[in-house]
Amino acid sequence: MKMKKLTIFKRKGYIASLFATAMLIGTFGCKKGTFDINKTNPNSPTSVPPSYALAASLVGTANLMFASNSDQANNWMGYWTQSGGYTASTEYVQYQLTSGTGQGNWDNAFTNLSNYHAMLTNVGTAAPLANYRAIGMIMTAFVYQRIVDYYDKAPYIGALVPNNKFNYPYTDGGTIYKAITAKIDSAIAIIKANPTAASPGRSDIIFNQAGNADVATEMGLWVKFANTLKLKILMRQTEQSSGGSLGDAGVKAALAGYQTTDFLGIGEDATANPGYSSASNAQLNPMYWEVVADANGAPGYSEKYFRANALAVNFYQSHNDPRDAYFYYPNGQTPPVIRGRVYGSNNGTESNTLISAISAFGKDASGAYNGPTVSSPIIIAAESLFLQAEAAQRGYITDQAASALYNSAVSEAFRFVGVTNYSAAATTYTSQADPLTNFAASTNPIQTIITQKWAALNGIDPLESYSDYRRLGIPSVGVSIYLGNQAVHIPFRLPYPTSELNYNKANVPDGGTGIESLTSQIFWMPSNASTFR
Amino acid sequence: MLCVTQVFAQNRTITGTVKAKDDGQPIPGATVKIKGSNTGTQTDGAGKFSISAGNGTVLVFSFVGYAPLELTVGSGNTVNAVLSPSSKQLTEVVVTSFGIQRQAASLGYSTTKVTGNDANLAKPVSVANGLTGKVSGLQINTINAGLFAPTRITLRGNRSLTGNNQPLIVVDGSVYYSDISTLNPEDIQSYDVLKGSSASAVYGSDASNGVIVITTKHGARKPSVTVSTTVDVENVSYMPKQQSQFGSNGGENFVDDFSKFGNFDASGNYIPYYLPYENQSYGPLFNGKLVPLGRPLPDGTIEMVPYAPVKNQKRDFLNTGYTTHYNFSYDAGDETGSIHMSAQDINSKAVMPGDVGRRDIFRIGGDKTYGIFSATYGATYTHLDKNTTNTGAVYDDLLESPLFVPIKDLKDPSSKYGNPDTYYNDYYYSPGQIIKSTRNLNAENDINANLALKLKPWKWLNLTYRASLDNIQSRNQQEFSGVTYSAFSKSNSEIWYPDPNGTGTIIKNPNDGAGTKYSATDALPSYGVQNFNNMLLTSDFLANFSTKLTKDFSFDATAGISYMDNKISWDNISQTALYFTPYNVQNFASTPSLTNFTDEARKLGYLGEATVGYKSFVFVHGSFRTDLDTRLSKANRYIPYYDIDGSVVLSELFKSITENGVLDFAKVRYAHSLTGNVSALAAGSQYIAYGAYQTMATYGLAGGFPYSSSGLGGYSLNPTIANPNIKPEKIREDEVGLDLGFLSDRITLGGSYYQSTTKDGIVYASVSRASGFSQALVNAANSENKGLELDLGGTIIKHGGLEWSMKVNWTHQTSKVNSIVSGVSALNVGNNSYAVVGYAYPQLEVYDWNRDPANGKVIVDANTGLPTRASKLSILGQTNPKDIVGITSNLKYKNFNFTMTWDYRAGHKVYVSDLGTTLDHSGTSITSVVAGRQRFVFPNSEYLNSAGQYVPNTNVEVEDGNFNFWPTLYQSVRANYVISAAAWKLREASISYNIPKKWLNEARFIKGATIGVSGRNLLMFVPSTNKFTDPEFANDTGNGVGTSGLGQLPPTRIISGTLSVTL
Repeated sequence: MKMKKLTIFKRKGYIASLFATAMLIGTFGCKKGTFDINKTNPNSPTSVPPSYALAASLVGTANLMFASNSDQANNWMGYWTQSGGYTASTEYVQYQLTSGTGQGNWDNAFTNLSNYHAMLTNVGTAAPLANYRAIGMIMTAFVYQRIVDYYDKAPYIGALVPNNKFNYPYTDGGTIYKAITAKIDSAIAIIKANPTAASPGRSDIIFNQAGNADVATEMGLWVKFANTLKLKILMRQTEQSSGGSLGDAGVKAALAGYQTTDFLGIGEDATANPGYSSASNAQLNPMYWEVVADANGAPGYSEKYFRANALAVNFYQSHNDPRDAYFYYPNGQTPPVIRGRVYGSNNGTESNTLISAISAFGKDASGAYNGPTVSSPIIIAAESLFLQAEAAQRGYITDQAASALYNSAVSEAFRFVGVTNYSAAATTYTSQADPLTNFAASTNPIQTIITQKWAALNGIDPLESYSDYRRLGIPSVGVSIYLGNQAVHIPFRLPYPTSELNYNKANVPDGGTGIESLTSQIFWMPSNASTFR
Repeated sequence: MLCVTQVFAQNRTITGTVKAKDDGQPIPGATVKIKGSNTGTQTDGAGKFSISAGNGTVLVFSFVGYAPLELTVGSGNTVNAVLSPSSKQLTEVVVTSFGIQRQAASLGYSTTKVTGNDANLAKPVSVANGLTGKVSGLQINTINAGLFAPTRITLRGNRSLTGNNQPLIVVDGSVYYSDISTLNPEDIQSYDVLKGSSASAVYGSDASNGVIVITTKHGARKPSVTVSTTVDVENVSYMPKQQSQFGSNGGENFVDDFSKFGNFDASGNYIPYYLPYENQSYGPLFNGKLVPLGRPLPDGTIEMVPYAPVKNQKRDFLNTGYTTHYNFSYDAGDETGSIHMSAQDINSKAVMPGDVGRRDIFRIGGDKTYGIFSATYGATYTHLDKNTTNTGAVYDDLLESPLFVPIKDLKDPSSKYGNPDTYYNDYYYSPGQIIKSTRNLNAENDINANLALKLKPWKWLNLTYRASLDNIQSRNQQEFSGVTYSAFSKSNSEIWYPDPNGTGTIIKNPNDGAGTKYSATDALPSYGVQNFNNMLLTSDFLANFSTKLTKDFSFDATAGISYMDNKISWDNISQTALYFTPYNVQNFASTPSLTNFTDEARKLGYLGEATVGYKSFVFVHGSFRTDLDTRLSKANRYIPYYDIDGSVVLSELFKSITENGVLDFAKVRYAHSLTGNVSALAAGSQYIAYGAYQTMATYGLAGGFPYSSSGLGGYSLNPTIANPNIKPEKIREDEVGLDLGFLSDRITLGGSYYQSTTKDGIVYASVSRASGFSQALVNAANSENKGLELDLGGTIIKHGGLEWSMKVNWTHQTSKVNSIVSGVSALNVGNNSYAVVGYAYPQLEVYDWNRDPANGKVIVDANTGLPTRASKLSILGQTNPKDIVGITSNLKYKNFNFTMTWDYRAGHKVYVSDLGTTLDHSGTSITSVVAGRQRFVFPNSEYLNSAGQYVPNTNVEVEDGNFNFWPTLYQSVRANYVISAAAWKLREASISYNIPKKWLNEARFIKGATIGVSGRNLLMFVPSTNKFTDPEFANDTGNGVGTSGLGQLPPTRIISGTLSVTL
């Protein structure tokens, strides 16, 4: 008995050990590296060459200027309005802004800045990549100006670098303006100090769209772009000389030594085009997709929602301006005409058959409306020339007369939207006995320049028009006629977004909530801005 | 004293047998004692005893799990005792993690067992629906009324802000990744709901949410075949409340006389108040007269309809749903094992016209023993097919439609007035057209296989190796057939209006500005397809030791290794236009957006657990686990997790408390655990593979790139701040509990109080965009959860053939978010729900009116009487209920069985989002007629008077009470759609009848037959503020509960009939 038991014990023990060993080997028999499988990400790269980063960042800036981000400015500035087929929007026609209003102008701007920042970090001070560095700096300044112009104070010092507390203090708009002006100067110095640095090639989708530009020409245009941006920054500050704004004398001093040849001139549009096409919605020009059509020709995502605003339409039509037919499509009536809708109108029978649709940046050389492949304007020559005209009128630059610059600006504006025989048409237009078109006939040259600048930048750079309005009150855009609207002028800024109120609450300055947007001013705005109508 | 001694002196030998009342079997090891002395003995293996005692001596018989019995020695020499079981709670066995069986009395944490039969009484399609209301601490939300409706399951609330909060599902010992609805309810033997994280601690870094252990049927010795059929009839039970007074106008003209269809202005132009093509109902009052509807047809006719509401037509548009269940099962077995085979076919037609689905499940499971070897196995194949439309678009169309429009007749898109050209509404396709043209096809195959090999060389050692495979494959396709309009629709701008007084004259207005049909733009067809594959392989090796250390101390321990490999691949071709059908990617008319990824993660866990028991009344249990988790950096591997719990069975320790026959069971318990959760890396998914590579900084292809015309590539930063040092979030949970049984378990009461704290919570914290990123992956959140659970069960009547028992459970839960990330006060956790520091989790945040902070009154303008929308989001209440009550009643009378399950949830809010806004936007809402479309004083409001003081508003009326208020301002304030989510529901009720055997005499091969009628979601009671829908609905099953909308069909009621025959 004893022996047998022992045998069973042995056999059981043998089986048990065998079972356990087999299972342990099965479970543990893993090769070295079995548990290192997550070291390499099979789905996404962890670093990219600078050219890929630059191309994506520049497209990001174009998307920031369009793709829904300009809706508020286009509406409030009298270019667009809502279709009669929709229920009136509280944001547009009642100016009841929330912390979600226009949020893309903040969120997408910082995302865009972050991508320039990452590229700049990767490029470092390597001399062969100096041009990437300069472009990254210039565009950082460009995007920051947009942020200040929409929001005034914003995180700048310490921004774009993750910190442990996710705490981002705000910097005054004036301080940011100074910093970005200096950044532009440094960028220009870098370009000039590195003439042998290579062109970014096709990834410079602004000044090297064909990919074969002569690097000196390409970077020469970047210098002009940088100077024009600086001019844009400086001209904002003419009306306010406190709170960090330079004021008339300060701007004049800052522009000392500049000549018109330093800025983007005739024919020198800064536009971005990575190769827009109808291959897919995402490859369309962003504004075309929004207000015209998708890749298959169906209406763009806001085509039915945004329509021509009577303010702009009536301006063009009452000043014999051919551009109404360039910014808008004829309506569906017989015979077709360009017709706008009064802002805040409640008349639902003002259908899309009656009210004109919006075109994307005018017509091409053949006279057809610009299609899905049209470049995105960043700073067009006309905008630069209007800025120069105003600077000349104010005596900041002196090598050309304001009138000449003004006439060139109008002519370039006509050219940009594709007006047939634009030069002659512009001459006819500016020769009318109309103080708002004819510089010589004008009793208020600044008003004429800014009104024409507004007429030129319809949908192209509505933030520039919005900024001019907030600086000078020109043109008088009025307010929506919507029943119950209490606002006496359009909002002065966008509210800080929900993301800031929730995630950086301790730092968000006063004055940036929805209701305060009607009163809270950008640092460069004059003290009498509340009287603007 | 002497006398007494004398009596005892005459002792003789008394013998007898101790048997159990329940099964009549002898009880070995029972104690036989002489009352009032220490003298005693135990029964032998045959339940026999012998003891020396005299006449009148009282013998006390006792045994664990049985009520003590006292018998007095009479004149005979034999005393036989029959012991009644005192409490099932002593002998009940609970299946715990990894399939380990433990005695319920030894558990220090709370569990509830539900039998497969109890969960399947009302024949639910998903097993989750059968558990609802039956277990305290368990919250199951069925988030819509669609086909194979998904559920969200939580045990004791939410412990993680952004991670997975749903319990692990363990089927036959293996982790189950497939959805719980892929199981056939008929295959389930039992559910053991292990509520606390103590119970799940042995799963380590993904263990914090409790476990639902599902044990499948493994056959029976008696061979049997069961065939059953259930037919469900489903109807809409609840529609949003709509007004039935006003018809079409979309603000085209200011309506000043609601009794007129229009007017003439000073120059004789017709101004229509009634718009025949309009989707909004801000027009004239219904008057029953005939009006033209839509636009004139090419043949010069127009649809004329009475201008009067059509009753119930929106409900009638939706169909009666039918579902058939066919079940087959075969059970067989012998001494060494048994087998269960089954098949189920469920074929469903939903209430949404055209939505159909089918689910087929085949399963085989069984076990086999060969000496010291045994094997348990199971394999399931589930196939699911669904063909559904865009619910949201159809429902929107249906709800917006003015009440006089006979929309129920427009299911057929080729009908005279329901095709794109003729549909009355200028802005939308007809609902029938959407149903026809928009189809979502979903096919899913799930394979689940499980094999456990066991070796029991000695009584004290049990070795188990278990391997399982869980594969989910799904293919989703989106099809849109495109729409083409006739040339007539594109060019016709003629509108026919009724004359102002509705006398029947038609005013034809050829060109009044309304123009051509708004929606008359052709749309190309489109197609998209996604393929998903998820493979989970697990293997575990467990060694279990079970022994008695001494006579009184028992020891039971398990040590093991657990391996898990999860691989997911996903290919997506996003929906893109086609030149024409067939639906195929080769026919794309433009470049699609393509995405594909593969993710893989592995885990190796070392685990151990042990229970030490003292006699039958004190138990201490501990478990330990540490993981090697590929998702985490080397420094964060091997973090220890543990549980320590214990119980004392007071009724065994102090037997005397049970002697009065009232209390027969009492147990106190305590559990403490530390567990982890890494699922936040996987954005809350339980799939570990989704958490792979999440700690690295990456770049992604930027939108639009590569541009095909230029070949230009572009990459942008991943918007998440990477964090390679992420570690699991840590959840500490403490639980105390008391379980009582009275009157031989006729009444049972269980209570648990728990609190858990989560530290180092992993969040993709949204951060200031100034960081350059949108979110940061951090271990930073802290939150807590507390709750009380009570379970009361009782047999109310037990008399003759009648037995009525009830179970009531109540759960009270609170939670608080203590911190998120420095400086961050709120974090979106999905939909409109936010984790908000200092508040219960999660909270709804939407825009409210501007209110006076002092008294909460709405501030209106002193002149216009209009309130304004606040510019910041307001915190409007938690979305998880504070209280949940479940009541189950079971009444048996002879062959009848009648059961009901009620439940109540309260203390939470729901945001009905686009369901609410669309009603006010369209003007079909009941709310929009509270003031008869006239001007009114905004309720509970105040205004700033000229003296600069806020005074109550009693007289300033809103400037307009019609189109310029409801669809615009009122609708833009979303707080108007945040309502109490409280509800009482009769979840299920069933009556079944077992056909008496004697009736089946003619057919002897039939062993049993049951017929039954049951219903689900029979009744729902909600507060009057809920004019919308079932408050349990949600957009998805994620953490952001509390937002529902048009994507969820209206609630339905299901009545089923079942015939089941066992052969």
